[in-house]
Amino acid sequence: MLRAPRLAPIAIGLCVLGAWFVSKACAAPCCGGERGSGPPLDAQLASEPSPSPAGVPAAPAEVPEAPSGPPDFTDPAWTRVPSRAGTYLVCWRAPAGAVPRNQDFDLEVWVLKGGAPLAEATLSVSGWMPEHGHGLLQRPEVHAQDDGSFRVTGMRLQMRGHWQLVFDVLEGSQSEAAECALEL
Amino acid sequence: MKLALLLALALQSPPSGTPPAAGDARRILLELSPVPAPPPDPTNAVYANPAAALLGQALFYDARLSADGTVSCATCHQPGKSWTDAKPIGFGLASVSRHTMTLWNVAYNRWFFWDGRKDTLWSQALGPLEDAREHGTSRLAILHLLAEDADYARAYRQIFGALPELAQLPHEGRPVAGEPEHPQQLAWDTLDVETQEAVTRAFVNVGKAIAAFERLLVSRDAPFDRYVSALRSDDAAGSAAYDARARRGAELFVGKARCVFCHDGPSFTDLEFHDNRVPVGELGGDPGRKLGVKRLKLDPLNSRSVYADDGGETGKRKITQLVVDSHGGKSFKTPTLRNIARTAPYMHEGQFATLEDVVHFYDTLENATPEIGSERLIQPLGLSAEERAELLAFLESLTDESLPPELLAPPPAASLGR
Repeated sequence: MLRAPRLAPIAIGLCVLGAWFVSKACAAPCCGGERGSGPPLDAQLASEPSPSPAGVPAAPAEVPEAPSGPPDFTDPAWTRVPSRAGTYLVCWRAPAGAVPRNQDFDLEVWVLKGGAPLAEATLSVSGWMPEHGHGLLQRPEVHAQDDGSFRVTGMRLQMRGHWQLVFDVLEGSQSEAAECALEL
Repeated sequence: MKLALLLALALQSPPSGTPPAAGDARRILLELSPVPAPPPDPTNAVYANPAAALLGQALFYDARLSADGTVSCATCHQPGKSWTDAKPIGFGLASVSRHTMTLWNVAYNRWFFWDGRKDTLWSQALGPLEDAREHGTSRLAILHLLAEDADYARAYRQIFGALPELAQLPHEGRPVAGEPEHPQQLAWDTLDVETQEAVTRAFVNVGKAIAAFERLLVSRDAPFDRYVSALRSDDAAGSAAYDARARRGAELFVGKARCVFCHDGPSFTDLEFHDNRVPVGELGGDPGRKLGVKRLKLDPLNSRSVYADDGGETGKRKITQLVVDSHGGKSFKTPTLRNIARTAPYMHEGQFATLEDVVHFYDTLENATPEIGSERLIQPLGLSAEERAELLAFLESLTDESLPPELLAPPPAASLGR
């Protein structure tokens, strides 16, 4: 069983809309009053402290318990999602209980390959409403845990309806997604 | 003609025998009421402090918090007009660029202004004070007022401690982004950094007091709430007391008309932003949320700043993980529908004069802007005239303007800080 802490960079967040955080020029000149005025914002935002795909976000403040091996994924609290080509099995649950609508929540995610937790992988998580044509409004952060799992913080599915959760697993140069439907 | 027909339909006596909502509609309707207690605000240590709310109420109604003594918060947020001004575009010292949003249930908001460029209620309250087209005053002028007014000074001291030492400071002055030669900025520059910090902190306290007052403006006892209460307890008589047309309108709201996707939860808003494809107003060119996110991230008074009473903890995730542009279009905040029948005109530039116009637009998408971004939520509904009237009856049933009368005017000055 692989339990080694991973050293690979941990990618953050969203893939569905591509370069969501690319700062774009305003469609119109910025005006004052309600819309305010001031120097161009894009230049100022260049120094904006933000999680970048190459960054490794700090682990959550809570101290993880000593590694005790993967949980029993046959427990109904877990959702098991095979990746598209069947290389990986992504198992996830919301530790706080049911996935809430329009509230922040965290996920615990395990990526299994050949039945064992996968080390040296990079995981990113996104959400998408295919019938509405939009995704998440904030980027979840993915934190590798010492026990081989991932902790995903800052998830929020803001609307009721049909969601697709997408777990992108990157192992070396190979990427494979696992998609999961969710009704809120 | 269209309006006359809709009104005529809405005024007809309701047909009998309409059953209470059932199935999915019932389940969703139960999620829309009751209105819970407002959530705590960890960024504002005095959010639930009655003395702070009283001070905030006095400041809210005080036109001395403006450059020429004519504009108060209540100029645009009038209690007699459901906390709006009934104008398409707000007007303080001059015209601004968007419609005034109501303050009903503002305590439940996640973001503030149509573009969400503020993320706390206290920070929102501070913006108009220093906007040249609204109050046009400055943080130094406001603090001098507080120091010179014995009632304010007493109340401030009781709640927040001593004001900064102001005797040697200019009577006007504030930071003016991008305008180093602005007289207000030049005056601000005469302060050392420590003094600037102390003045800004006291100015922030003014916003926190106003926020404590605004949190009290909660609407929660509309006919719809009484209907849901009856629905929840299977009270057939109670359900039957709710207008039958509004009852069917409620089912349309959560069903065929698809309103609930955005107008969700007890405040009837998902708290977020959408490109609802409304015709561009006369001002045009408004980038909405796209610019709002950028401004929020750079705002020195945002929720991850040192001025947040939780040390910026809430704001770290809220702002850092926020995406600049989630839909690609021009998105604006979903407004609450509480008291929506009392807050005309509608939309971010007051494009629609009546609720009938709003329902007609969503029904037909007449003159809608093209789909620019990826969001495909807004589609023609194909409602009948009767269904439109039912939706209107439902929206009317979200009306509850009852508040303790003492909130509708300034408090007695002598009550401050007592």
